[in-house]
Amino acid sequence: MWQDVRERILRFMGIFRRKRIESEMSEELAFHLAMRQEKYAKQGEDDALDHARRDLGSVQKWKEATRDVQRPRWLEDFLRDIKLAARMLRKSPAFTTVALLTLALAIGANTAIFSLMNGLLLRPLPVPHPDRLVNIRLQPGQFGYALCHPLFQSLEKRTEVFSDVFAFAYHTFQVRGPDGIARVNGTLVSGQYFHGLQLSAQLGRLLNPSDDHPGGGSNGPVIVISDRFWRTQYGSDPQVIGRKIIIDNVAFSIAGVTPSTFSGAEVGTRPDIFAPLSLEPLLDAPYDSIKSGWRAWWLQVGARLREGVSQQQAGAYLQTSSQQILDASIPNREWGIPGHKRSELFLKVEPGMTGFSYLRLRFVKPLSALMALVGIVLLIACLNLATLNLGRSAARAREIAARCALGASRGRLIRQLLTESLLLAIMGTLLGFALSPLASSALMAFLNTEQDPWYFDVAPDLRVLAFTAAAAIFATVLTGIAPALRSTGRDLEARIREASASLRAAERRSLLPRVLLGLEVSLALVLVAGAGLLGYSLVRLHEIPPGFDARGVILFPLEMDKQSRDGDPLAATYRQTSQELAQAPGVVETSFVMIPPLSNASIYAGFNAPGQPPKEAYMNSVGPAYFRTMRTPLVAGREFQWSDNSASEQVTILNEAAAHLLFPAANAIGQQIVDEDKHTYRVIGVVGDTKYTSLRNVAEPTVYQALAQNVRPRQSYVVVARLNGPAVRSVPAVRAIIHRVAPDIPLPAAMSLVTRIDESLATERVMATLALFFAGVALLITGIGLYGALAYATARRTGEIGIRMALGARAPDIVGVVCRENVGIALGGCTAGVAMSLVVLRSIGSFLYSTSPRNPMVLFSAVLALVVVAAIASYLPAARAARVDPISAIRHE
Amino acid sequence: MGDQKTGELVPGTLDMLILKALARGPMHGYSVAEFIHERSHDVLRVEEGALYPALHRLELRGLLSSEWGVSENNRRAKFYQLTATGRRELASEAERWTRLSVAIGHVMQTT
Repeated sequence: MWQDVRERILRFMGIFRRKRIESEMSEELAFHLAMRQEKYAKQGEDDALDHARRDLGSVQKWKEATRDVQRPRWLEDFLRDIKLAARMLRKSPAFTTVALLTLALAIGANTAIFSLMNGLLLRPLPVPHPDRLVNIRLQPGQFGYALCHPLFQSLEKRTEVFSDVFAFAYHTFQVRGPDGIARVNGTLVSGQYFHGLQLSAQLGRLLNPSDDHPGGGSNGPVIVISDRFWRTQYGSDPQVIGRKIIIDNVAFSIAGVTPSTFSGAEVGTRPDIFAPLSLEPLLDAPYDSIKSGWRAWWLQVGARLREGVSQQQAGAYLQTSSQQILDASIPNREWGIPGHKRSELFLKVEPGMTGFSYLRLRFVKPLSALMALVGIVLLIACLNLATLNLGRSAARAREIAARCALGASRGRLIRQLLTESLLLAIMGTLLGFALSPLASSALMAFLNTEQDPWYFDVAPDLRVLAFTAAAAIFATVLTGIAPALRSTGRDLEARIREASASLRAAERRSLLPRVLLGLEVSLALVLVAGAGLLGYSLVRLHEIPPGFDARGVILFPLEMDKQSRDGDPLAATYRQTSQELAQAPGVVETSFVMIPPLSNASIYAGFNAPGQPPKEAYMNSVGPAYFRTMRTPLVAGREFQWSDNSASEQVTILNEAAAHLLFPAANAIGQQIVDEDKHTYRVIGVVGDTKYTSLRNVAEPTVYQALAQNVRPRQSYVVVARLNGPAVRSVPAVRAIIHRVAPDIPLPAAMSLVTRIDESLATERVMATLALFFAGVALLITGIGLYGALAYATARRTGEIGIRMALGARAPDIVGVVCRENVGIALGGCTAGVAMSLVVLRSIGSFLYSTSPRNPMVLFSAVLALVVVAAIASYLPAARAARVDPISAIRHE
Repeated sequence: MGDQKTGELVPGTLDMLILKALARGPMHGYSVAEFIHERSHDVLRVEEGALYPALHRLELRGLLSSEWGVSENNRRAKFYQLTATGRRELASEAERWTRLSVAIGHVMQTT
């Protein structure tokens, strides 16, 4: 057995020792010849040398035999094929360039999108034995991944099935530095977090249960920092352990640094600070989610299965003890998930190998759609090359016939032709693979949003390599096999005759290339139609009136929760900010809003008119002149003023939808409404409807509360500033004023409201943009295919065209004759494409906004686009054919 | 091609004969051929076209090792030598061959 392996390896190595083997072989042979000659000479023969040579027979033949021993034959052949293929590709640079570019683009795009899917869905957490991790969620319901603290505490005790149960929650830390307060993303983690993940520190130690106590462990409050934070903030200083850091007004010391590969148990976030969960009341002040108990659902819970316990066993255990756990954690009997009875709720175990991620819920569908999209592009690119290859191999019929006549077997010829496809595929793949990390990163930046940033690892790993290799093999086979089989298929004699005959009727009428091209046209049509639908839908989304004028409005979110003022003094700070901002250059109007429109946050509450049942409505809180600043029409009554404060009557403004909801019959102005805490508000104004949560939704009924009457502790507001000049001039001035008025808060970021609206449509925009881009690529490739195939066919019909012209055909006739080839393909392809679109595009219906997947205008435009491309691609070779000089054309044959 | 007057080798025995020849010590290809020719009383004739590929194959399989040295008449020549594996292979091949030839002998002697 090992002899076999050894022989194979050494034979393979022979490739690289070729020169030496050759020279040794010659020397050995020369020695043998000399010895034999000597022998014959001793025996007294005159022609000793000749005799010896005769004995040896054909030197070449046995050298060949020895070579075969030293190097496997197939490898030798393969290398020769590669050389030949490279020569053939060099001989047709136009074909090679088109082939390489389209393949590189298609495979690069496929690899890039697969890398994203891999990073989001497939890559296991970089921890030991990730297959033993599980996520715990509450079923049914969409938001079951967030659990409350008492539930986590009950789960922690379930050591029968779990060795570790850990909880974590995303948190943005305010870190005090030399240049003011910086916001740093991080995670609050329970004591078992790192133990459950089986991680160890690259420096210092990680957090353990002894750190997870209110107020900190025996060493006071400690944190662990990420490798990235350690590098960027501390220059990888090994002395960092024990250093003090002020976070959210609490002094922490740094206990350790996590391994560089680890970026949290939640895929998509990139936490830089890990702090003990029990310190949440200090960090979250003035809020306290732990104290809120079952009312706060904020923790992701994961667990490591106990040794010997399978995931099914743990799941069954948890399901049967769900009610018991819920009863122990949530004393309030009335609590439940809307639409489900409490007895229907149960805890579920899900595989946690790839960690946990909210992003998955958001991106699985768009990414799958993109994957399908680029898959079609790859298919089109391959079909295109297959067609071009068919043309090329037809042109090489003579060469192939000659090889056949010289004794090459069919298998050998197919192998040789496939080598050419393989070479192209490998080069295209390498090019595409080299470009794909760039494309993945660009795509990630493109999909990311400023207000809700995320990150995951898209570096290629074995799965990505395997995927790309599969794509390359797919491309090789698809582009090479049809031409190879066809050009070696018919019997030798027929091929020789055909290769030299001037009339090649059979070839021209052959079905295969037309079917391939037709398929290409129809796939391109599906892509173009799909992209058209997505683009049309995006335009429709942008046409939706949001209920305010976003142009020129800049948002500055203030973070007041960590500074000391509250109540009236805080309202005074807001008022002072507003007054000073009015003096800033370029600022026309300013106001404040608690939750800016389209920001993924909302407050939902019940309100009722006196004597009426409560109605569900959205709630927001705004400053004076907010609606004027936003250009939202005031329908009746007045806006809030600074004088609407804690001392005056509680007032409210309703939008029209809320006014209609609460007072369907009467004028709302002057009426009273009551909230869930029995506070009463008098309605002083009605304003136009605005979009609150999403552009796609109907404008939500909204109840507005005055800023100075808001009783939430240390409530943060967002400054809304309308500018009449360039933002670059005003933004620094506004920030400087805010810093002067409230030096104890982080310097606010600035974001334009237009950007925020765009970002709320980021997924749709990226989908539409990429779809349009790839549709353009598909159109281009299809055009090249139609052009290339026709140009080949026409070039080979030069003689026939010459005869036609000699017989009196005029240029338009010739154009017609030539173009006829493509008209059929284009019509057939478009018909099939429209049929396919009607079926396939239904699947993107859920991405579309008020756009039917069968929108006739979009389908018609797509057909038109393909017809135009086909017409251009057909006219060019036809026009060239019409300029043929009949005499020289006939002579040429 | 080749010399038809002398005996053809029994198929499959060349490797064994080469190993046997080399059992006496290192030799170059020419003397392996001569050895087999002489010891078979000029009956067996090893063709060069088969000998050298066989030598190379045996070397790749690790049954032989080779070394460039100087021949008895002061020429540079490639010397082949049995390895330990080669020695074991020879023993088992020889044993197999004896068994086979005796068996064939029995069959042919039946009247």
